[in-house]
Amino acid sequence: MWLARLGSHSMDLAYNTGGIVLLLRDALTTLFTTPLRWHSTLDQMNRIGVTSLPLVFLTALFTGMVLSLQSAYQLRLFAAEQFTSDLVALSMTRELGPVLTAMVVAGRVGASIAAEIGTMKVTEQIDALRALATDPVRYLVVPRLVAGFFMLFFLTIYADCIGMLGGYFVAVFKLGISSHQYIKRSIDILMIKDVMTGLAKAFIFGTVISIVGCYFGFRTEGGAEGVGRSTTLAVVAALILIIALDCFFTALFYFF
Amino acid sequence: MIQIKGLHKSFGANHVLRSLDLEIQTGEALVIIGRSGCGKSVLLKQIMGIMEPDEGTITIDGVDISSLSPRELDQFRLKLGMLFQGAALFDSLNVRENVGFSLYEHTSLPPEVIVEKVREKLGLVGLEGIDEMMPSALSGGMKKRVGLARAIANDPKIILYDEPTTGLDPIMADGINELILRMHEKLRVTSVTVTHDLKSAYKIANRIAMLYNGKIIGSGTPKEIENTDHPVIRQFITGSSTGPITE
Repeated sequence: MWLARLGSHSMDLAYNTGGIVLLLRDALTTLFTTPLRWHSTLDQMNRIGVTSLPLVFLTALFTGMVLSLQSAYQLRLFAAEQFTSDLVALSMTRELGPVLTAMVVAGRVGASIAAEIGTMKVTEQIDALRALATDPVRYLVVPRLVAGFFMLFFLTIYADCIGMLGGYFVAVFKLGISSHQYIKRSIDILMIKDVMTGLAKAFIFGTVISIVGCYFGFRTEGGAEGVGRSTTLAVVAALILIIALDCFFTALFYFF
Repeated sequence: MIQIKGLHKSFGANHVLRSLDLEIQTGEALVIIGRSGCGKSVLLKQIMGIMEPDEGTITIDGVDISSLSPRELDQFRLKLGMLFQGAALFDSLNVRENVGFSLYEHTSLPPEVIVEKVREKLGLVGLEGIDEMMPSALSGGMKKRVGLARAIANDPKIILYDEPTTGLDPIMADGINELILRMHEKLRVTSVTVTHDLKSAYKIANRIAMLYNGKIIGSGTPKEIENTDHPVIRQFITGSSTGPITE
């Protein structure tokens, strides 16, 4: 029984992975062979990026503050509290900035993409697009893919800065580290590579969130219940992929 | 003319269309009747080219649509218009943008010309002054009318209607029937309607065909269908719960 279930889940996983890759291929082919729908893309950039700013702000600020406190708690054992800024800066730019931003956006935007396209699918609006000689991939997927790709990049830069600011507040006003020392150490410790590895991940996560949301939206069947299922699947799949890809790219950047 | 030969379509174990053959003459008003879930809408979507058959060919005015590339198929679809069962209006666009969708997307007409054309098409379906309304603010009957205006925006040669009267009250349903008749007469198009609403079928068809077990089992004028001896068609049109369909 469990073996059959395992087999069925494995088949689903292979089927969905293949479907996501094929949709990404179609979207990239369309992106590079047809003109971009600028109006729609800018609208998606607003939805994915601008409207996510408050949530990313809060997440990054509190994460930076907690990181600062936890680092100081450990470093105090070695009388090395001045290294708090190093830890916050490196953790935010290399890891927490891109990953937490991606998770917040996956929950907020990935779900909304899947729900919107899923509703269009069950109400035959996708069929209507085709009937009106319009490619749904060009009309719906490409603007979201481009918007996700670029907006995650900018949101991650924003999250990195806000996270470090949160760490700064705790370090300077609570732990007694001097403002000048904190800023100087943060700038000195950060290498271009650290920032770039984080931002490279952001591009990948943005692509993943958009394409997974679109894929599960297109796969929706069976009315409101189906839309709910697709939304959940889109968020779960995006979160798992973000964590797995983060692990993969962290290892890749570590060794090369 | 639309020629359908040996059409097959399955969804998993459910073999919906089984070697279906059908010819629809230019200018004809054909209504396809059949039980819910028998594959009527699937057939319509395959004629429109938005669903691929597993086997068989659909030829429209001498062009086998399965031989067209996706871009050629998109261009070809502009010759057809389709009214969907739930109207399928785009939620995020207002009535003007919905009706003028293919004109905005596929022509280089100036916006003011498109606005004029949209008003003309809305006028044809008896709707005026609702250009800027959103679909969520429309009643079921209005949505169908806007859907029909969108379907005829490109002046298609063939119009496909998927259950045009489903979900409407009898008066509104009759209004839609009148509208379909008027479209047929005014625009001189070929129309293909799928429905299980017999009152509507008798009113708008000049030929009725019945789809059963994945095939067209008979066709004729509304009068011939009304007086048929075919046991399956007889049971369907009389709405009897006993007979070959339910045995």
